[in-house]
Amino acid sequence: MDAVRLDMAVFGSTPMAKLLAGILAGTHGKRVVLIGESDAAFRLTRGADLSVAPITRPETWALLSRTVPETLRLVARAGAKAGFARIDPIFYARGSLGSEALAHVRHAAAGFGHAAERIPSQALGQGYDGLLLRDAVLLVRPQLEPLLDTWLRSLGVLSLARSQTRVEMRPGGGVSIASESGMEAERAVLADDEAILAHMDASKLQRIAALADMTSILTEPAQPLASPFMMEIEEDAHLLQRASGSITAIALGSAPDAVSTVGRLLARQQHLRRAGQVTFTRLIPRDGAPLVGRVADGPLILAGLGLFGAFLSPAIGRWICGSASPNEEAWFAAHRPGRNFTNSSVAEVMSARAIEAAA
Amino acid sequence: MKNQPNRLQVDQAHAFAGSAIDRSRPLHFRLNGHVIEGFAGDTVLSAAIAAGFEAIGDMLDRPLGLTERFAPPVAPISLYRDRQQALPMARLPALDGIDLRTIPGGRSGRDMRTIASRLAYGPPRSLALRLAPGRSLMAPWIDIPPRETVSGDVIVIGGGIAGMTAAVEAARAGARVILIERRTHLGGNALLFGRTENEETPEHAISRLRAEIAASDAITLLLSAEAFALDGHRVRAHVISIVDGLAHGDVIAFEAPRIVLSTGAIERLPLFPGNRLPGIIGTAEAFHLAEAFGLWSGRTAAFATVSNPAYRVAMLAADAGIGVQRILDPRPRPQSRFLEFCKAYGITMAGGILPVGASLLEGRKHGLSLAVAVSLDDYARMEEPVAAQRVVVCGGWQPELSLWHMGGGSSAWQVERSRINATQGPGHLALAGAAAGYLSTQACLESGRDAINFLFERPRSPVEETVIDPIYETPDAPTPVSHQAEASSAPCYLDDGTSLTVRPERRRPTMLQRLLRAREHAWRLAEQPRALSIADVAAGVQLGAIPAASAGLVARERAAGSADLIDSARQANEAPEPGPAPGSLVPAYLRGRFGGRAALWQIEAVEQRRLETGSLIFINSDQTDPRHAMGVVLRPLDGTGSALALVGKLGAAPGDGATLRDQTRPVPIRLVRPFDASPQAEILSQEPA
Repeated sequence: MDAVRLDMAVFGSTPMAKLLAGILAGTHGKRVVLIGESDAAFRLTRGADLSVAPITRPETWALLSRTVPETLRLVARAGAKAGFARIDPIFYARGSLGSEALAHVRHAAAGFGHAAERIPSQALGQGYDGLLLRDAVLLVRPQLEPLLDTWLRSLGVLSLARSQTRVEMRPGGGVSIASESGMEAERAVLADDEAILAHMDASKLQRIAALADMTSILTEPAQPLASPFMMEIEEDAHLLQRASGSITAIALGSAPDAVSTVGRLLARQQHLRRAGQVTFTRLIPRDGAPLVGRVADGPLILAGLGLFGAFLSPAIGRWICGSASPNEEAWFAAHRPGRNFTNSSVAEVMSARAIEAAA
Repeated sequence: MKNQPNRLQVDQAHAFAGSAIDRSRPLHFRLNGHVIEGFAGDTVLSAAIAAGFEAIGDMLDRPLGLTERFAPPVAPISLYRDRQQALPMARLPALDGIDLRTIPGGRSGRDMRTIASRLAYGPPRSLALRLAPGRSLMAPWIDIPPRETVSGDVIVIGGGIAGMTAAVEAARAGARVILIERRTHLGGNALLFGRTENEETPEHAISRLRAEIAASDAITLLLSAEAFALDGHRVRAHVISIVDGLAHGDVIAFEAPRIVLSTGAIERLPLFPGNRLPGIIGTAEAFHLAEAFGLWSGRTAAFATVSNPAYRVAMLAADAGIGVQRILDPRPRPQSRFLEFCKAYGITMAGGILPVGASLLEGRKHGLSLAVAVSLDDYARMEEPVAAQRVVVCGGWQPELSLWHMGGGSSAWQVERSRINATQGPGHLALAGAAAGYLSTQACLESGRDAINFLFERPRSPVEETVIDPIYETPDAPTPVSHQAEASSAPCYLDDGTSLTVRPERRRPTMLQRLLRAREHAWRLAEQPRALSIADVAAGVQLGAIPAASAGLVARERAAGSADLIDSARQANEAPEPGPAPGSLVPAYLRGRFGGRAALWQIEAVEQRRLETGSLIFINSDQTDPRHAMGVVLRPLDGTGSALALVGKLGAAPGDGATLRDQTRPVPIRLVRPFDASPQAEILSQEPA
């Protein structure tokens, strides 16, 4: 039996990976297989999806100003409106480096129409400086995921569980997938860190990104935070509080380091127990900016997109399919893996710990 | 024993006389103002149960049973406010004259309502704790830093026969052994499972091993001690000691290059509404309370089991004068060597029947009504409910792997036995006994030896589990799961531990919800805001909330050790001071923003004002798009009314005007002078990246 021929194989379990797979299939008519897991209902969260982030580059804000509404329309058409929430996230920092970075983020965001306000230290804790961005969109992964999975099925996207699928990357960026009749996809897109680490040569990754431990900690119900989403940019840690009051805290470092960081950030709680934790590996681009493109002759990688990656998925889909606008092309060209990381013209805010890891 | 209604009489010999208590040494103490009578050898919990307490309080509008796995901490009244003085009821020996209070507090025995109720209806059955769904009931001592660290060669956690064997074998190998057991006596659950032919009896094994441990100088035995955290080679345990007639609790850290986890098995709770009402108890706990402390609540009992040891317990209970109404078993035609004995006792047994719900008898009657149904292949039919003062349940045995997971071990779902089994682990950890999946006496003894052989890299022999032909001993069935309850039913808990995870109820949508086409919120275990026991995860697999292939991953993620985050951070190093300002004035995220020849300038507002970091500079006031900015303020220059800016304007000269945007508001500025060309100044020359 001849192998099934597909256009794209998207590897990833995140909302970005699923949205991208759906966009490639639904908007661009590609034959797509998605290789990943749907585990948001029972595994601890290992990331967050927010329409804003500590971004200083105006080109990125400009791109998001178009793609965020696009993504929301797409999510609504997919029947997944219940999968997102509107919140006012807070980004904060304690030292001068972080405060300065936040000021740059605030002015850049305000320049694109975001309501951006300084938060006084009384609300955050002594010595902290904060930035509140109003009316951002948070994707609620446990609620969104099953809705996206239904949408993908309706688009004819084939879904395979990563843990049970054997693949072989081929030179030129394609992939062979072991199945009953065999599958071949012309282009492979590695859309989350786990996929990149599983299928990319470590030596090729080393030049462009560092590997760092991240730990996700789920807490028991806590006192309400100043915002449902808070990110300490110098610690590279974010806090996401659910309706139940429990907090998912994700911080750089192995479990002991992350516990120490999260405990300090939540010191106002007095006492707070853990309900779960998991340590995983994250890719930190050498200049803190997204990595989008092929590494040598390999598959296409999407890394370092951080909080906002899911909201770039319409533009990523256009770019992959060759129909990106000139501004989008310029953005993706500037963020290719082959760029100069020493004098990077797209470098973004990085915490001191991330800088140390990426050095 | 008027004040110990749940203490069995010993006027005739039976197995439930209470091997751990000395009836010739009565004692009494106070708990929440109630006077509790007991005997030397009792724990606070066993004495409270003897006195008639069966419920801890109300949760989700239903009473919640008081059990060994779910009992509140207590503290002496005088030390009540100090969290560090909290002690576990199930491990705290009852001491004559102590005055204890539960944490949280319950209704006092001195309360007028309690006194009136006692006069009218008899002794209270509930501690009446004020429980709240959001409130953690986890032990407060897990946050206490260790008082000291004790080193050894081998740590053995769990004093059942597998752990005892491992301790003895390690001592024979010349190791210094630390044996940690949470109960007040050794032996684990070996007596429950009895023996099969040609095996050493568990009684003999326990007696032999106890003697060897007592005679060994190399083994340090800690009873009433519970290990609650494992990190690498370090175990933290809460240890109770009695000094001058007073009980103290300490957290001690133990370190050793080799660790044996003989942590036993958790008894799975059958899943049906009302499965944690007072009066419902697991088989192993029922047996332990009866055998060790001579306790049995009520005078009638029904059994609902998927495992054969329950038949033995029923037989022994009948021996002790308990009226065993029925034994219900979802296995269609269960066979066991104990069944014949039960038949001889006249106990009614029924196969193919499982419990589907429980409720308390109405009014002040003591007891439960257990709804049951026939379930055979595709056939299902409700049967007459069974009423009894106590319902003993057994949903099978799940190896207790919490410490294994904390220590870095992995696990996976075993389909044939509907449970999570350990797979790979670090080389310094070994499992033994029921934690390793063995239940027979011989296999547990062998696995204890094998654990030491593994850790000491000695030749190993396969551990042979005694398997009796299924014709004679029906294997355990999976934990029974009743259909989803209506909203009015009592909660169906996934496990009888502290997580209190409840299976969602099926609710009929309201008119408004139907009009709005509101989607029913799906139940997601990821959102349960408590550490999950391994039994919760196993139940999650059976309920379809966790794919079997992910059971091991989820179990490991949710066995977090639950220590207080805030205390852990305080005990760790102080927060690092934010780093000093970098040598370069221009952070990396501003490189290339304003062209290849951007330079540092001192700027000032035309009308004096503070210029803010991050404010964008434009050629004129018509420009607003940040992509078209020609510069940005780096930082105010204090005391000068001006600021340092990075400006990318070609041919810029002092006095040139520009517009700064303070977020959106335009502010006229001028360039004052290039920033001083001393060490801090830079002219950035960038090649396009």
